[in-house]
Amino acid sequence: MADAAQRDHADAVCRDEGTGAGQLALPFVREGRLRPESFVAAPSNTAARAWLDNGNWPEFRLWLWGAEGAGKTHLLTIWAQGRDAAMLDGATLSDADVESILRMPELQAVAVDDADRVADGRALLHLVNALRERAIPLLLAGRLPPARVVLDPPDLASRLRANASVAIGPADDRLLEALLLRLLAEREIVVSRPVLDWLHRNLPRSPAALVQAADRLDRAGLAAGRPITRALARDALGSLIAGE
Amino acid sequence: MADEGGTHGAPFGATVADASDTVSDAVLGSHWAAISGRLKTEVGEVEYRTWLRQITLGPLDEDELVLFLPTRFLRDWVRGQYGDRLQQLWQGETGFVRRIELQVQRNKAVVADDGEVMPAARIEAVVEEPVRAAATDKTSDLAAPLDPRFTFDSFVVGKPNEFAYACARRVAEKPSSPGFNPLFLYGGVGLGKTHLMHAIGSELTRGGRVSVAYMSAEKFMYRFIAAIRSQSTMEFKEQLRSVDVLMIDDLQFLIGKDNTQEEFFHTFNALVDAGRQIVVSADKSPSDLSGLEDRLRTRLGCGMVADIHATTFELRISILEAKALASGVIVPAKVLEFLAHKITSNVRELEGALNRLIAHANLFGRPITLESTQEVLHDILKAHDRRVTIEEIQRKVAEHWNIRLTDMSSARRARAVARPRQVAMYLAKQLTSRSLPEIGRKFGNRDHTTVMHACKSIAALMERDSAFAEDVELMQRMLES
Amino acid sequence: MKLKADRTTLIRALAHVQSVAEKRNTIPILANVLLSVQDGALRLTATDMEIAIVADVPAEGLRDGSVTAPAAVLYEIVRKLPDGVSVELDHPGSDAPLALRAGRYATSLNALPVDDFPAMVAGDLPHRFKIAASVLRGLIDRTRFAISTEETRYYLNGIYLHVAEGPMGKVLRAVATDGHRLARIEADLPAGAEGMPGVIVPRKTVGELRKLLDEGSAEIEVSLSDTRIQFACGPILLTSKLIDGTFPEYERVIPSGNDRILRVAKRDFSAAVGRVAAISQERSRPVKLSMSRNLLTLSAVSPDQGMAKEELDENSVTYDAPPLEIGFQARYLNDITDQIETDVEFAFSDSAAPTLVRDSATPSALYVLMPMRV
Repeated sequence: MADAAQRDHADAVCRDEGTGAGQLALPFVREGRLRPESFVAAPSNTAARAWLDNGNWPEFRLWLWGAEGAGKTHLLTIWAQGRDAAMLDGATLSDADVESILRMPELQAVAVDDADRVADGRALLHLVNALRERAIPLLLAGRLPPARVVLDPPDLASRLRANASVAIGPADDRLLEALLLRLLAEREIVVSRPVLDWLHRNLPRSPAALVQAADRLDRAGLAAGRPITRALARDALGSLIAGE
Repeated sequence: MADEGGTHGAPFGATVADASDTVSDAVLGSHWAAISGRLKTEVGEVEYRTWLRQITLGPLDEDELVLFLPTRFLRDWVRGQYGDRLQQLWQGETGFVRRIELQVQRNKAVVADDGEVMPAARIEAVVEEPVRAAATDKTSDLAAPLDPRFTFDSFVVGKPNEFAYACARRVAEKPSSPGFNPLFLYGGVGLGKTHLMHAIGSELTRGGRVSVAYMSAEKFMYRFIAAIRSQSTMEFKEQLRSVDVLMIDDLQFLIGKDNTQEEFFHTFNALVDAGRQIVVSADKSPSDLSGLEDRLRTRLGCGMVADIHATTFELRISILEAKALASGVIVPAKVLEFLAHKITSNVRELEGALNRLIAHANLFGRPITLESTQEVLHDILKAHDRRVTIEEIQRKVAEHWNIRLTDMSSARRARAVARPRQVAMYLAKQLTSRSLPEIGRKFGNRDHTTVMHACKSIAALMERDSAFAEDVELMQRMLES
Repeated sequence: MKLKADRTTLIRALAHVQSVAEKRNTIPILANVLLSVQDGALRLTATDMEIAIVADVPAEGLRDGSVTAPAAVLYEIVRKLPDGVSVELDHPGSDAPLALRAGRYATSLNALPVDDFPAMVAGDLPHRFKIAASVLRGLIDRTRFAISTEETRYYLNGIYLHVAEGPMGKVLRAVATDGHRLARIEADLPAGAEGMPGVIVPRKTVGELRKLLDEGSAEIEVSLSDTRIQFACGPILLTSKLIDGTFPEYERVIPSGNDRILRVAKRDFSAAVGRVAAISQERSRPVKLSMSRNLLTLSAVSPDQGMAKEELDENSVTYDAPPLEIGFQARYLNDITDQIETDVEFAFSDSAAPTLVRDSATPSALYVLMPMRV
């Protein structure tokens, strides 16, 4: 992760000799707010949305999975807000978190993001069992399906493998187009229509690549202190753009 | 348990020269119905359902009637417990059956007892009712609720679990029998230990006379620690020691938790000494649970130790059939076989897979087919996501349509070459996340508009020509798997 | 409409008003100033649809009425009139031009119909507070140099004015950044400002406001909503739209662990930067700072001219950290040191990370500067 961030940062250094060559940009982080209305509905996420809208999950559990940037966290957040669910982060989940969640008097539902990066499997197992016992819905999200995640203890792995799971599939053209627009809007990046078309045509057709592209464009434009033109974009995106 | 007694029932002297070969199956069936009715009243409903319901009629050879049981264990058990009585009843009932022979016949296990067939075509939503705490009266705040779905009836018996099942049954019928206390169930995850414990609990609490506490070892520990914190350990002990049956699941959790082990050991002794029943489950046998105190291991192993083995194909089929029937959703036999072949890890995951299919069918209102099964379960059926490369697509497509690989990037425009090339471009767009200009470059530096045109043409052709569409879809599936 | 006004009084008001009026002439009426006399008092109004200015001018109203006339022309004429002269403006009505007489000088200006003059509605401005002109001047002067001029970064084209939690409680904070440097200064929170939303005040508004602050009013009354801000500076009322954007979470780029501290006398430092950078032909004029114990070497390279360098020793420098080399644009260094009284304190992390700059005398101000690769 750190390597990638550094590389991105290096890529974003303006190479244009005309305007302040080598000037670095302040490392602002611009993230979108995960609002329900900004979720881009598309055929690739129809099944996931249907599962989330429908409350009847076997064992009251659902595992939502899909590639990075596919919209898992977004869907999870929408679901959690709609259900008044407690939200937990799988990577940092601890016994203490679980205990305090379980003590909540009116616990409606629980959502665990990054469940595939869970460090304390015992804590998650405790949560899984306690919620099942109380018939409280549990939504877990991860990049891989439970069958392909190494989970410990084995009892947890087995329970989650027996779970209902639903995938967010590969994005189609319309979704990618809408997503790119949203990512740019979230970063308040103004791009002309021709540049937008060019980006859409030349960027890899995956949400993760678009997220990376939007971040790089933001930083490169800021470093250069110029509007984002096609030349600047080509320079900033470097290896992301096909064949370069 | 199985008594290796005589391979034949007791000899019966008189031979009646009856025309046994003319006895029809229907006649035998009606006799069997009468006999099983009597057996039921004699041994009791529970006993009957556990052991005898699974008997099916075999051929009559002269005066010897073959009765089938689905497993060797059941055969041995029935022979030992009911062999003589069965023979007497047949003799009395028919006059032409003198001897009975019990044999094992696989794949004959019948599951549901009501035999009701669900109407086809209509798929009803199977909504799981939230689990309500079963009546466990005074211990209810201490113990976990019993899951009403986990009963002996819903437990599908087969070779790998029949011994544990029999032992659990026995404990449920006669708690604290000598030799069965404690009952120690062990086996890998998801094989049904918890199911059996809940079944014991449900069976015992049904009459309301017996108080049962079921909890995981983990919960036992949390409760114990909470009791220490709130300085109410005496209450905790009293509550625990007031139950008739204490069941602790996943005892391996106590490994390394010395204080909790100590407390459990004392509770254990107090209950056993008072003639109460204890049921414990773990992932290993008592002797293999290193990390538990020796004296506790010794005590755990001094009752009945029953293991549950990994599932067999036959058991998996039986389980799936039972689950499918109970769900009310039509699941084709082909799908059940497919699942039984593919999901071999344990019962929980097998049932989980079937539940997913059923939930999916309910959610989208579509019948379950082999194809939809592969689609819904692709995450567990495929070991990992494969990244298909454009080169791979080109190679496969070239092979399939029998053109040269170099033609993928050649300038030739003959239809025989151009069409497969377009298919490969279409598949490259479907199966990879490459941008269209990049795909174009891989096809002899073609422009992205050419790729776009190819994708549109192929999609349109697939729309018009279903044979062609099938061909392309087959290609896509081959590349994906 | 008819009035008489003192030239000196009139020119002061016109200077502010014509500056707001639209100069690009795309919509002719926006280049005009609205003059209106009511109950004997004169009011001047101009707007470019983003900003509106209203100035009440002491004058002798002779006949009520109103008219619009080209702001720039009127301003140029009045500016060239001799001091102390009385200016008479007379508009008889309808399509007639506006007549101007001063002493022996007379002219007429094309008037446009008053009805076409757009009114900018301020709407409800629920947040209201008073702030000393000197304090507001400080907030603007120390941040405006960092405002982005890149038009597509609209959300950086202004000063972010908001309430923040400082170490001693709530403060009013002004922040500006162009992505290369950032300036942050805070002031005591004025009464009434507690609940105000964070707003981005556009660059042009900041410029107009800054000029008004020199007019002599000791206290400015600020009113604002989510979309508009209004400054009342004595007889002049400046109303502006706010930038409809989200200012970035700037706190995340302010380094907290930078422990390589350089203290340098501002005068010596900025003079040295100027001298060393003079050699460079590039617009960015990179200057390299090389530090070792109590020694700062500034250097610049030019492909045509060669190299320039200057050393500052312990007489003006303290530095007690491992040696470090880092490059900055000369202009950025000077922009920041211009805000600083006597001693500059730099806190570095490494040659590619944000550098923190402070004024030893003004702890309420803080600057962050991104280096260049040199």
